[in-house]
This record gives sequence, C-alpha cells and structure tokens, in this order.
Amino acid sequence: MSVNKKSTPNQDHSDQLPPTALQRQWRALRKSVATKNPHLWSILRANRHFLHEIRQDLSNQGIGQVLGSFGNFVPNAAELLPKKRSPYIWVDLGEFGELTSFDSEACFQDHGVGLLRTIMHKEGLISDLVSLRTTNSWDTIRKQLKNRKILILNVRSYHVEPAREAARIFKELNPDGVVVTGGMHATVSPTEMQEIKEFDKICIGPGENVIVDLVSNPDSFPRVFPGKGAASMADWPWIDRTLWPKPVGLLKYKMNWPLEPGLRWGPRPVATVLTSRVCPWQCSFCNEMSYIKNMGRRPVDDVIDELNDLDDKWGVGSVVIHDSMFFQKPNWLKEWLEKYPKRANKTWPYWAAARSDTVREWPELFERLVRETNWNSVSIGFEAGSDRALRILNKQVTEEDNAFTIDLVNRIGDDMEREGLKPVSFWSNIMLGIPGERPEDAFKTIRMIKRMKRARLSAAYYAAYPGAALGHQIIAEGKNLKPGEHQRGDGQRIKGVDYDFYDDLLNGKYDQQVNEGLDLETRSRVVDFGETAVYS
Amino acid sequence: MSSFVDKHFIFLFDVKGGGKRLSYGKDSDDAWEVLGFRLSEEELDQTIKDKYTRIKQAELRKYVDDLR
Repeated sequence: MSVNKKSTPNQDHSDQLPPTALQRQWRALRKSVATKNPHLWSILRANRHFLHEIRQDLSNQGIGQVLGSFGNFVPNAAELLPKKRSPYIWVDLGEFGELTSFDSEACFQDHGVGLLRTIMHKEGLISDLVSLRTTNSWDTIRKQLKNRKILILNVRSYHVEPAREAARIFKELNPDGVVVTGGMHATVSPTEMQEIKEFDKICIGPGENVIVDLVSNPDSFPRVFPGKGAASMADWPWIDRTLWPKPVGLLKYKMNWPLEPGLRWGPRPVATVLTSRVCPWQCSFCNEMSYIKNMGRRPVDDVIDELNDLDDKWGVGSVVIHDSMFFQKPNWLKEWLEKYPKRANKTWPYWAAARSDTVREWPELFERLVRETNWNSVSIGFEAGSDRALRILNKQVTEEDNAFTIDLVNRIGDDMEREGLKPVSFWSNIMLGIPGERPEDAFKTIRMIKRMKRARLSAAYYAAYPGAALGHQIIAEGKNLKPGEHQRGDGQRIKGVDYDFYDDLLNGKYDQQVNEGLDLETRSRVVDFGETAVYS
Repeated sequence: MSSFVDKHFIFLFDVKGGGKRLSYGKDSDDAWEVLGFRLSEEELDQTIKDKYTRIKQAELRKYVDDLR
C-alpha cells in the first residue's frame, strides 16, 4: 500500500523505474555490510551524511557559513584551561549519545535548562553541566558528580528514569549533597516525584523566580513547594546559549553549536525561540493550561532583536518558533507580519504551529504570514480525520476545518512553486489508536493525510499522560497498559484498542476502503509516517 | 465544532459507588455523548448522567484523585 515507513516527504513514487542490476548489487553490498558489521556501517553512514550535508549547506548558504561552522571543531582557549569545579551541577537529561551521533534527530536543546542557568549565572551562581546526551555511560556522569553540593534536574515525564538514576548516583557520592528538582513532571505528577526519595527539593511550577534563592539556600525551602514564574516572557533574559551542552564528534558540525541542527525544516544552523507560552485550547491529550499559567507574550521587537543578535554572533540559517501555539492573538501576529520582514537581518524561513480552525478563522492573515514572513513549515496538530475522533480528543475543530486548511496550504504551495519559490509544507501531527476510535474514523484520518500535497508526518499511537484530562481519566479507569512509563513511542499503550487493526491498516489491508471516493491523484499519494512511534 | 463556535467545559459525572468520571463538551449532553464513544455499556451504566459538576480546565488538577 501507499503507506511508506521511510522518512521522506509525501510524494508520488508511481513513476519510479525498477532498479538496474548494478543498483541491485550495490543495495546487496550495503545490506551485507550493515548486517555483518553494524559499527563499520554506522561510521560509513555518518561520514557519507556528513559530506552530503556539507554539499547541501554549500549550495544553500555559501562557503562563508560552512567555513564558519568548522570553527566548532576547534576548542577555544577557555575550554582548554583547567576549570574550577562548581558546587552546583546540572545534569542535562535525555537518551545516552543523542548529541554524539551524526544521524541523530533528537538534537534540540533544553530551553528550561538554558533559561535557569542563565539566570543563575547573571546572579554570580556559576554552575557546571554534564549531559547524558554527550556520553554513552553512567561512568562518565559519575566522575562529574563527585564533590558537588547541589544537583539540579529539569525533569520531564519521559526523563523520570534517568533523573532518578542521576540523583541516586549523586547521593551515593555526596551523602550531604542536595538534589533540587523541578520541570514539567513535577507539575503534572507531583506524587510520582515525591515517591523518589533522592529528590530533596521539588519545585512545582515555574522556577525562574525561585532558582537563585533555592540554590543559595536550599534549607529554607520545604521538600515540596510552589514555584514562582515571571508575569511576562518580556521579563526573561535572553538565554546564554553557550551554557547548553556542546555536542561531540562530527555532530559538532551539524549542530553549529550553540545554535541547533533542527529537523531540516529549514537551512542550518537553526535558532530556536519562544514567543509565547501555553496553548489556551483544551485538547484532552494535552490540557497544557491546566498546569502552566498563562503569561504575557514576548514583544515582537524583543524576538527580532534576539534573532539578529544570534545571527550577528553565529549566523542563523532558519528559525524554529517552539511555541505550543504560534498562530494566536491576531494583533501580535499583525505586528510580527509588519516588523519581521523589515527589521530582521534576513527574513529567515521558520517553523511554527497553528490550528486548522484558527487558519479558517483568519485565512487572509495566515496567507500573508506564509508569503511575507517566510512561514515555510506550518505545524498543525490535525490528529484525526473524523469529527467523532476529534470530539474524543476535544480538539474543537471539525473535518471541514481540516479540509479547508489543507486545501489552502496546497493552493498557496502550488502558487509558490509556480513562482519558483520553495513551497510551504505541513509538519502534521497525527494520532492513531485513539480510545473509542472506529475503523471508519481511522480510514478518514488516512484519507485526510492523502489530501495533503506536501507534508511531513509525526504520527503516534494515543498514550495516556498525567496532566491531560483524558490521560487522567484513562489512568483512573485502569486502562493504561504501561502505568508510570512516559516514554514516547512505546507502541501499544491502551487497553481495549485493537492494535492489530492498525497494523493491518498500515500494511495496506484496508487500502480499498481508505481510497473509496478519492480521485486518482489523491489515491496514489504516498502516506509517509517516517520513523515515528506507530512503528516502534 | 470549532472553538470559535462554542466554549467547552470539563464535566465530572458521578459514578455509582463513588468517584467521578470526566468528559468534556459544550454542555453536559455533549460531554455525555463523547463519553459514550469510548466507554462500554456496562461502564456507562455505572455513570450517572444527571449528576455532574462543570469545571474549568484550570481547575482540573484539583479533581484528579476523584476520578474512577
């Protein structure tokens, strides 16, 4: 069937020719090396991709930018000098090796760690940082945790286990040391946090107005206490990005540290920024506003000033606006529309999120933003293609809203292509295995995906997370098959969901039903889930 | 229904034997229908349609321990 597991854009492969004899032999050789010597294969792959990406960057950005990036391979003088060990150490949580592998996709930096470390350093509380993501074993971490007074951890739900292990090792090496924790998991699941005895202090809520006092005098805080946040993002300092972990190996080139590699939504290096915090909608798999307080959006000028500053220092290739919901508050968006093309050093292409009903509500504003501000990668959490499934998710959008937005982006993309421009495309979040979803709902979701001419998909099976309304309810009903496990991509998650049906659906068993009523062009469009959670 | 048409709330329906069951929608009828998309008949029978509390999203965390 037309469901493709490889990570390439949605496109029609129907005109591909069968491989020649030489191509078949080449594929057999590659397969043989990959199977018999995986280590050699990974080195060859990394080097090949490295050279390929240099070629791409040369054509996108020119020789100056590429030569500049090579500076990352050379340590600066400050790095070579022996450093005084700080009593305060952060552990950057994540998967081992994420910042060592050239082919790794999970390379985004942690804005929470960056912001809080910046605030500490401005107050003279210089800290060290060790990253799980730049190493491959706890032994390396252990060496860095010795002789410290305070360990600081920003804990997300999917990092609970490494946070627990880091705290355990720290307490073993520093029995009188204090483990200070906070982050999203502390806010959505404080009970789970309190069950971890090594966590001495647990900050529930934002930490920016409490971190300095907490680290200076931890004994003055009870074990669990509410955080204090800024009233507006305008009160946040710009993150000192050199406080983020520095990648190692060939990845240094790809990362363009302290900027980031992104996910190829636009040219590297990528500057990630936040302009707003908290999505006010009520999707039942998220409900962000139930655990994060709303706060004032950053002034447009401040966002542009920071991007220009990053560009002056490191040369920005494109931008990722990491807001949960960028396309909200039309007055702010109109100011962005007016100022970004005029004041930014360059109108860098960017990735940012919208909803299909907001696009339908303000289509002219949306189209002007796409065309005039280079909003080239539009992220939309479509999630499902049927009204019934959308209601289960409390998306508050309709099939018609989704269709309107897809047709609009298709049309704008076609126009741009005709004008010789890179066409706008979707980054599309899709959910399968929604509790209560029927086969005909899932067919509609695949049909909706096929309607998109240009899209990269991020697909996952529904999972019940604490913090979300439906997540809490499913957990209370005892239907969460993996209680306490919050890793994304763990496959089958919910009791009562027929995962065999979804396997069959993705393997083409229901192509006939999916394609019913579709025209020939839409029917032949490849649905490409990439290497997303539905296959793990 | 688009978010520009109707405001949505969270509804906590009483469960026979104690506790609450959560759903959401523009009104309690809408929330009840959504609950029916997901629950078995037996589970729905344990839930009382006419006894519910309407809450705002921001209050959700206060009620998590009541859910059944």
